[in-house]
Amino acid sequence: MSESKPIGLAIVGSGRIGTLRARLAASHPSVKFIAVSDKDPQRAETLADRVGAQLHSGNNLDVISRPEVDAVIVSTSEHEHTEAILLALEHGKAVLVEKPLADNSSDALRVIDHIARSGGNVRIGYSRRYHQRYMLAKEQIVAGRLGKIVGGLARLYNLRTQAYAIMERDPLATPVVDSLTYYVDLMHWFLEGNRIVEVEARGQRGVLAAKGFDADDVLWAIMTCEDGAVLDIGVSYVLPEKYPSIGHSARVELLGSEGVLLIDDDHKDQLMYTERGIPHVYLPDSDVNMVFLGSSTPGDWALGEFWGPLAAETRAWLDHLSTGRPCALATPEVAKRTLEVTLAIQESALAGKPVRLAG
Amino acid sequence: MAQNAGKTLGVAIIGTGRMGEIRGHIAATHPSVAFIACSDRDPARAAKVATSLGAQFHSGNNLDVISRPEVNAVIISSAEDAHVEPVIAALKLGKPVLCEKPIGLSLASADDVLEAIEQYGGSVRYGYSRRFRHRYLRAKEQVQQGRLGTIVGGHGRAYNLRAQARQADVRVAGLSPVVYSLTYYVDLMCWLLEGNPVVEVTARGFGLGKPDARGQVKHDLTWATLTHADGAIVNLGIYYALPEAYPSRGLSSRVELIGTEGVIILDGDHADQIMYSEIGVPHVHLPNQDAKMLFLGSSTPGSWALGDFWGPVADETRAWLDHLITGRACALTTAREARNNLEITLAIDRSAHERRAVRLPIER
Repeated sequence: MSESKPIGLAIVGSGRIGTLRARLAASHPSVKFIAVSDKDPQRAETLADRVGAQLHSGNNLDVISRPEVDAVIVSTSEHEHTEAILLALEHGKAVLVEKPLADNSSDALRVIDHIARSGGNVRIGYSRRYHQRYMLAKEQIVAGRLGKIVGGLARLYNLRTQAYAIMERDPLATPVVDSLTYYVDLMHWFLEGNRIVEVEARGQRGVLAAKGFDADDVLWAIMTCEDGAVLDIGVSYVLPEKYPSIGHSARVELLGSEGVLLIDDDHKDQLMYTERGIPHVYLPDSDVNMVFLGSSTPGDWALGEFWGPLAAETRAWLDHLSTGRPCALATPEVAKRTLEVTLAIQESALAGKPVRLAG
Repeated sequence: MAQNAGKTLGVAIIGTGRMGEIRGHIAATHPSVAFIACSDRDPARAAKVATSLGAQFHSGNNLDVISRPEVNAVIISSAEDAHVEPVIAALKLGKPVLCEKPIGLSLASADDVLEAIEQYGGSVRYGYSRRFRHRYLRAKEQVQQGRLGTIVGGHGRAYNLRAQARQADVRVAGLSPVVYSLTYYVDLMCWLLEGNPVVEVTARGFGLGKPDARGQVKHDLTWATLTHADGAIVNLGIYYALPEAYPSRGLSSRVELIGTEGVIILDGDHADQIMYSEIGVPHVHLPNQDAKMLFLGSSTPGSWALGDFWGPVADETRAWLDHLITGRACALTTAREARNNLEITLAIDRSAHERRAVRLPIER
């Protein structure tokens, strides 16, 4: 049996995911103290009331620097990750930050450099790793059942309304940098130690560009690993707004010398149709009749509890802090590499040329 | 009612391997077919299939059967490197042709066919039977109805068994899966995006060079991205090294289209219909081994059931024979489209081998 330590937690950023993390943390047996902040103090207060937090503030430093706080969850907008991480590191607190680590590589480097200089425990919330189908896939690879990996495929579709919402928050958080990053991370995890050294991408502009966003509607990239394995990866965030999925529709496939893994993550296995209508998550004034249950990316509320990858991930990280058990959350080195790969994919698509990554 | 009174067909089957035999069966059971002749480079094989089809004539010589006066339609199901010569022989004699894909193995030979069509005024259609897989016909219908809006991108990928790659390599040493198999999906995508030609190809490949691999096929896996004239991005992949006993018997594929107004996602992996049997099922490509698990419906051309052949190749062959008899339009690939498919597949292999983007057209 493991010895467990109590945890005092700061939640920085009280938006949708911060709220979810806070609610999950509040029910964790080791969490004894919670402080929440948001640049909108009212929102921080609302969340604090909801989870019974001991402290709330409109100032991140107020909650991070509290002596009761041992660990910080950074759930701010993508472009505000770095400052909050560095602040937590300066105060010697462990960090869980939402993906991506940063929206540009110099910010990612600042985090890596700080850890190299002064140490620190930072993990990045790539919650796809905690989606059970991907966890099971990783297990098969670790067990050697696929043999040597020759290549693979990952593709991600989502609603155009999702792309609008994300890029209104941060224009640099394109579908590639903010979302395809999950699947680049998965590939890094699956092919651990086999770095991606070249990407060749092509994209097509249309619906998103017409809305004023600097992003492709459809983008495909072929990534070559240092041992020659070739990974095909694609993203499109222009599904019609009433398409019955309410999160990532994905495929992940791995081809090995001794085996093959085909993962259908399109959620067609569980559909609900109702004449009563279901409120549409991203279109407040509109109901849909058909929904793929289970298609919400972080997971779902059911019977008063939250179930799914984000719950499993949050719990694994808190257990890790409390008991020292290893967890599968991405490390800063991998997250930085993942960011570099996604930026290279965009660069390649823009230039119409392959982009090499330093080994 | 179709104008077909009294008209009959005499069909020559050139090449009586697996495909020739299936096409021959469909022809032999077609109500308008009154005569069948077949040839094979192995005369004994031609004789055997002739007997099973009830054919009136057979030979080890293609020209013998193509030139028979009763023959007014020619089906060419020979190996991939033996398509061009019998096609041109049939054209010279003014006989319409259904030929298996690909049109040839070089653009020069494809152009010989186009020139012969021009010169003799004949008709050649190519058997890209994926078009007759009902799910793809339905997709084409939706695209034609405009339900997807403008197509901005797509994805298609096909996986097949190592044993299939070995068989192809026995037929024609060094034949690339891109040229004989991914060509199906190049054809499908070009059909679905009709009028929007491919202008650039970029590809990468990888293979482990397994000891049992013969010939010169370097890549087990190839990924390619095609850019169309209007900017649409189509991503394609082919892998021919699935483990021997994987429960599929043909192409496991996915085809997806993204449009400004809609999306189509087609699952062709056949996991919707499985059979597990302790008694075992004979393995098509591993003669001494039974399989216990099988994806029914995974055979690419179709399957035998209750004494008949069902599936895309049956529908395709019938559509072509009906077309000859009644003049009804058919969806089979034209020679010009087949040449375009070949050009794109050659460009994909070139891009993968040279690791650089290849713009179309490429030189002959």
